[in-house]
Amino acid sequence: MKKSTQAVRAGTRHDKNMGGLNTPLLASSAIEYLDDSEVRYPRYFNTLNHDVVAEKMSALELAEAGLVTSSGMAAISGIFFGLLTRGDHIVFTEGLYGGTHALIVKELERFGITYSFTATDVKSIANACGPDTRMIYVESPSNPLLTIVDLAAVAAFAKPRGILTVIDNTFASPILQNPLVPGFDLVMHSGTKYLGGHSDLCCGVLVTRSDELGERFYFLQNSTGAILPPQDSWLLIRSLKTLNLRMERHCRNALQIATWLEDHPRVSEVYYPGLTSHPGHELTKRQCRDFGGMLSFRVESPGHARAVLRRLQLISFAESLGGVESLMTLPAVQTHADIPLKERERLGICESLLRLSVGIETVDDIIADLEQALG
Amino acid sequence: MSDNNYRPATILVHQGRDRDPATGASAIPIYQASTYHHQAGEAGEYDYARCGNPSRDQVEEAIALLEGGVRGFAFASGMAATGSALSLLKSGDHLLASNDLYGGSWRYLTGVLPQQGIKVDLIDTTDPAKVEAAITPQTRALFLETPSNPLFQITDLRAMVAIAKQHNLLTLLDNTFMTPLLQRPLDLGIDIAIHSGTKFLGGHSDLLAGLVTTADPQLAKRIKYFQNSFGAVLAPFDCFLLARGIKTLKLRLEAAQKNARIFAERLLEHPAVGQVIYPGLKDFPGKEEHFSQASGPGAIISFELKSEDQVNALLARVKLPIIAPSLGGVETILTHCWSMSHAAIPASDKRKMGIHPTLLRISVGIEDVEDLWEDFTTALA
Repeated sequence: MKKSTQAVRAGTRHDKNMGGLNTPLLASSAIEYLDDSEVRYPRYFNTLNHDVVAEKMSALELAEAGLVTSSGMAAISGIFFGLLTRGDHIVFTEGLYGGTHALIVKELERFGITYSFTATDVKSIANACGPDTRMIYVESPSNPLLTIVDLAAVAAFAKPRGILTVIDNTFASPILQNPLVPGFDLVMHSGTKYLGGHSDLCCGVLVTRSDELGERFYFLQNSTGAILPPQDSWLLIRSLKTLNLRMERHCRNALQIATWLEDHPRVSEVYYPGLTSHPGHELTKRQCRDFGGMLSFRVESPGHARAVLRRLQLISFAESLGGVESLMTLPAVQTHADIPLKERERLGICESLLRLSVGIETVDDIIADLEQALG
Repeated sequence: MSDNNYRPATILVHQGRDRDPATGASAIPIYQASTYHHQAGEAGEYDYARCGNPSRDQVEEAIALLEGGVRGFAFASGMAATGSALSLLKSGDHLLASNDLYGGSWRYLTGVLPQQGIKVDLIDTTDPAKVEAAITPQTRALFLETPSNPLFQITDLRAMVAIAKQHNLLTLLDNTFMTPLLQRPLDLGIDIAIHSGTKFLGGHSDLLAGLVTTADPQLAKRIKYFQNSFGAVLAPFDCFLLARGIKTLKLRLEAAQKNARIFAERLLEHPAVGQVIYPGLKDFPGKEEHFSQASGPGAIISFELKSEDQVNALLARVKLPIIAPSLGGVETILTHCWSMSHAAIPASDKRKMGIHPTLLRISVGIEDVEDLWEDFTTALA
């Protein structure tokens, strides 16, 4: 089955009793034990709607096992606390989502886990690894500056050393990038974003090809209980059916907008991997099917950025991304506010930097709104 | 959203309201309430959920924006929408309707309306002269489908509007097959557009809904009265799902239509297939009329297999399509019109209409067309 067919069909359990073409929404906290079945319970993540969403995500990510959690952060904390132990060291690439950054700097030390942040090139990543390094954790494209990590090179470095490779694949979605293929061990998503796609649910996804990791997560999920309820699992399944179509349009609109912004006199820099001027352009072409729906750009001053946000009419000024509607974010004060000012400035996440999650509206309408807002 | 001149893809995403005024939430809340507080004994904007509620307003505004109506009305099903719109007629009135209609509409027009003392004649609306000839002093309305279901007969909407104006008739059109993205009947002068929102607008085969809209404020007032009095309204949760479905309508419809064009061309070449009826084909008989009033062929194809045995074999062996009545979902749906969508119509009438047991209708979904074709040809091998 091709991706667009998988998005619609993979995992669906037709209702055998009634013939309904969708999997029924099974909202039961107690499930009768049938002789031939396993013990089913929502927290065990094995009820009907969980099975479907896990199977569909696994199919889209070319994975063997999948798990859905109550938020992206629940998936990330599951990775840290489910796989690491006292004395372990993690290498993180710079420019992570602010919530991830906060969890790392505020909590890991307490559990005796040490970490380093490094630039996104393989050499820097390799140099940051030591004898205790157990995990390399990357975001690619990164948030908000769209830096691209060479996934195959990182996996090739880590594998012989027994280091686990983990990627936050939220920005690319499984339609554009399947990191298990170049050898990553674990892929996570904030499913709140492109997977959900309608800005109306909150969830996280983990997929892997390793039975051991799959079982470890399953155990952890069961123990900590950050499960996604059947209603939201059902809604997520509905969303995934149009993921392929939505991503195509997000990408097409984003490339057009990035090109337009590049020529705008009041925009100094545009960060979008689809632009030939982007340093990760060639690498993205190699490891992704398209360039995605996220872009960032720098305007004249923090005051100008605020004025743009105030003047927006069609585009919402809101934290989040990946919805059908275009959203703009001021990363320095929203998504990345948890990162200390000095560090933020070093990374280039200043208050003149705006991030745009390009929606599926008519691209001319989005550009018209940007044009009037930029002044 | 502050500008009504946005283009269709933008209107679909943002609709009439795109953020909750109370909280700024990016999706309109599901107002799961049956009644509303009357502050100090005074009714506010909303008083009782049947009369109106913010969740329903969202989809009602959306269909009005998309069709160019003054307001929209959401119902519990397409038939509830059709029935409520036809409540504009009264005992003693005469209704003329297309003779190739959706089976549910056929049942309503021939079974329910006569009980209310409304006389109905089903005629060939593809010929304006026949419509003109069928008009009596009691004729009050024309009920149309174009393209018709399942035979894709094309009725010239401008000609119907001209006749209606001359004879002071109300015009109603079931626009389900086309959606407002491909055909905007109110722009052509049709009084009332009706949709089964269950189909393309909802798009995920997981809800039932009906929508009605009109550009005439007086008609809107009367439909509002019937909607509230009959009470076949769409529930808040389904309004949420319908509004959510509408957000991706353009992407779904374009992808499905692209697939349908390819599928129809290939059906033409297949040895087991007889006639293929699809407005996107070169020799489609109503091509000129259809494209004078619609901007695309849609995503539904009807076709004949050469024998009933082949129909049975196909229905038994095909794997990807859901075999069911209905259409317009993300998944491909294959319908045996004789026993499913048009089961309500007696066999002899079906034959007269041109619906034979070898006729199949396929609502092409958004799956990869190569997967669909492979499955189809394997089943027919």
